[in-house]
Amino acid sequence: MNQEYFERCENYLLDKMSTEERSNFEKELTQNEALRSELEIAKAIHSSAELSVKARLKQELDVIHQTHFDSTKDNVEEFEQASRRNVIPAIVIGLLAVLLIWAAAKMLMNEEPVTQTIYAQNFAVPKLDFTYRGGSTDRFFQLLESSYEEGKYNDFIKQVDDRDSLLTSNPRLMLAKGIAHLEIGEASEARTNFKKLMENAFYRDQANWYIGLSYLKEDDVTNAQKFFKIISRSESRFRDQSIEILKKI
Amino acid sequence: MVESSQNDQTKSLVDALKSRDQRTRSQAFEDIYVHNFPIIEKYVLANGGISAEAKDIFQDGIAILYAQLIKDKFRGESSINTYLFSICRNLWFKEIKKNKKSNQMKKDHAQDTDQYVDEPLESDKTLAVFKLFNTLEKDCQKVLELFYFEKLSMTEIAQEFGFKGEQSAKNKKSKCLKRLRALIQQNPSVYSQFQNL
Repeated sequence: MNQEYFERCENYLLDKMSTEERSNFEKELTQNEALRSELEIAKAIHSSAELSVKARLKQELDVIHQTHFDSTKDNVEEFEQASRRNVIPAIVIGLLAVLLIWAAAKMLMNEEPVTQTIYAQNFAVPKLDFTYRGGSTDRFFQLLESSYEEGKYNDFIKQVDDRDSLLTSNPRLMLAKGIAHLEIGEASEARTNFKKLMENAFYRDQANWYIGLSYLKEDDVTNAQKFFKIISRSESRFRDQSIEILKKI
Repeated sequence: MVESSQNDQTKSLVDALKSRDQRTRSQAFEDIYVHNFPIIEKYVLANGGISAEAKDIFQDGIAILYAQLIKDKFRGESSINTYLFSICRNLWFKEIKKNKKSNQMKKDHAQDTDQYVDEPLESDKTLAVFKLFNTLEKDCQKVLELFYFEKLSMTEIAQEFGFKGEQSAKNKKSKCLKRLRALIQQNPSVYSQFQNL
């Protein structure tokens, strides 16, 4: 390899030569094999940079496609179209489709739904501090905190319900109550709390995240997607996780 | 008046697609994708293809569109959507020819008067170098992409990487290029393709 030749080739490709230099370079190319070789290498490097950008872009596009267009409907449609094109007899197609559906149903019956696995991988009980600053309710909040931290969610919900008025003034408590409902399998009640939190700009991000998860817990992919999409387009700290979830569901 | 507003829309979409701000760019690609994929899919399905083929063609089309924007080959004589459609239609036509399915193609392609000009297919030599390019560290790949494809200046590359100055970007690019050239030279099956030309 010849460094000097390569640099001249770079200048040629990047249009950094005068008309005269360019003309001389092109003339030399016809007679100089080593220069031709360097030019081809330089061109291949330029093209590789372009291919690399395109490959990266296609990865991004795949995520968009999965988010907006991938569904079982497409697969069935593709299967049908492919079958028609290859002129497979209709009876064989029918039998294969039945077999596929049977196999899919069997898999679904035997395996835990994907949504549950994703939920388990992403859900984490946030650590929350309810301590009331001053006043006679200190002890009450300490009790709440220990119920929450020890995972005694039924007790926690009952304690909070007894002092319902506190909820509106304490968004952390509202978030915790949602979490508690979610932990004991009451996704709908959990959402009621999270939705109230949406009014609070500071907690909106977490509210979207946990509402999305609550739908996942109920295997409601359509509604879960709505919330993860909102997060994936924001600057949320859950953004990357949401994108990953969208890819999977 | 209507034409001027359409031109403004096209211009702002082009700016968003070329934006260095990742979020603006991603949103623009998403908008284009969501708006245009159903149209291309319908076209491919109507011309003997399947949904998966439509997806491949469409994504290749967007990648080509992006390259054309970066190279300033898009002159804005039509909307981005029309331009993208013509790219995808050409790609599908090529695909059909490749698979000898031309009898399934509707005649409308013959009336094609698009401004879009096909890009040549990548040669084996280029693909061999691209494989080596992929083995470089991610930072190196990025620097070379920004310099050779996105045509950013060294100052802009320095900003992108958070380097102190232009010189650091120059050094980085030079080091990465040297590494890639060394890889080519050390790999006889690749290097030999550039000999005796």
